[in-house]
Amino acid sequence: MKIKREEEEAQVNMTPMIDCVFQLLIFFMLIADMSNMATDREISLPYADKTVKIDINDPVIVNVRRDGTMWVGSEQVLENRLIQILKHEGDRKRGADGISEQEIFIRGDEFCKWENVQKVMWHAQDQAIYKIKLGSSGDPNKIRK
Amino acid sequence: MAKKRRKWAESNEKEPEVNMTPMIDCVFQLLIFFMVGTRFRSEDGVLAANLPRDKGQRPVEHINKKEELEHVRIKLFLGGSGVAMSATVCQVNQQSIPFDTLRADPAGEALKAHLMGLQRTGGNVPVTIDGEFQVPTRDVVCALNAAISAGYKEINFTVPDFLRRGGGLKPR
Repeated sequence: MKIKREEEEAQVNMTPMIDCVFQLLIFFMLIADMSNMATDREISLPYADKTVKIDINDPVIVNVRRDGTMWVGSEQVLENRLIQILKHEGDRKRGADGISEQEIFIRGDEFCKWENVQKVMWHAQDQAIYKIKLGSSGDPNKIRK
Repeated sequence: MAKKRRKWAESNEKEPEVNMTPMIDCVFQLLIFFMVGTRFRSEDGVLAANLPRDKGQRPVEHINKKEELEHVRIKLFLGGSGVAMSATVCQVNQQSIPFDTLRADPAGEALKAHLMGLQRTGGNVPVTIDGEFQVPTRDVVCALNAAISAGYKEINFTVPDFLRRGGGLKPR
């Protein structure tokens, strides 16, 4: 006697995988820091225990890498271009007294020469921008280097 | 007739299924996007300071005694001797302070303690941080951090005017 087998397609239960994928998706969505896309990953900021959270609205972020090159966003800038950017940004918040309320956030690598950061400061000062913030890291692991 | 219909209905009884494949595809796309694009939130932050509003430099001999007392000047320059030839030397109002951010004192505790002592005797006076060109940024930020820790409110950086010569800029 022949037994008729019911033909059924073998199915993999996808539910646990979908659950895991959703968990991962939510995790990455929550942890993603999309707000500071103008900051440079190449830069290792110096340690400072008095580091405060970045609370600047609409800052001009100038990254100074270890080799002294200056970057604004993803663009490497030479001094002339930096002057243009600072002038443009400074003019946007310039008061009647000629002083700009614009803040400059300088992210200098911990091992870059101070001269390179000073250049940015000099150009900012030249555009009557006097408020600066220096990038630092509050991560205590840095001091055990 | 009714028997036939029931039989037909039984044979066609299937659970309605939602096709999940497009959704899973989208979720995977999103997952990959976030995995690649994510930068973990770091402890990065800022230290605030000001730039001087005056320009130009005044020779040291023109700074009078009263001004010197009413001002804390942190000077950082490369010095030392022998192995420590390129170590940063720190002076506060021309008095040398032990300063080794790479090894012995990474958080600048000695400078912090010294500045706190000055704060007690001199009230709230302005601080100027004068870093030499070759000094690493790490040391200057450490000095700034020490001044903030010691409770100083008015902290400025010097910006040498002669930078324009090296930068190939046109004088204003």
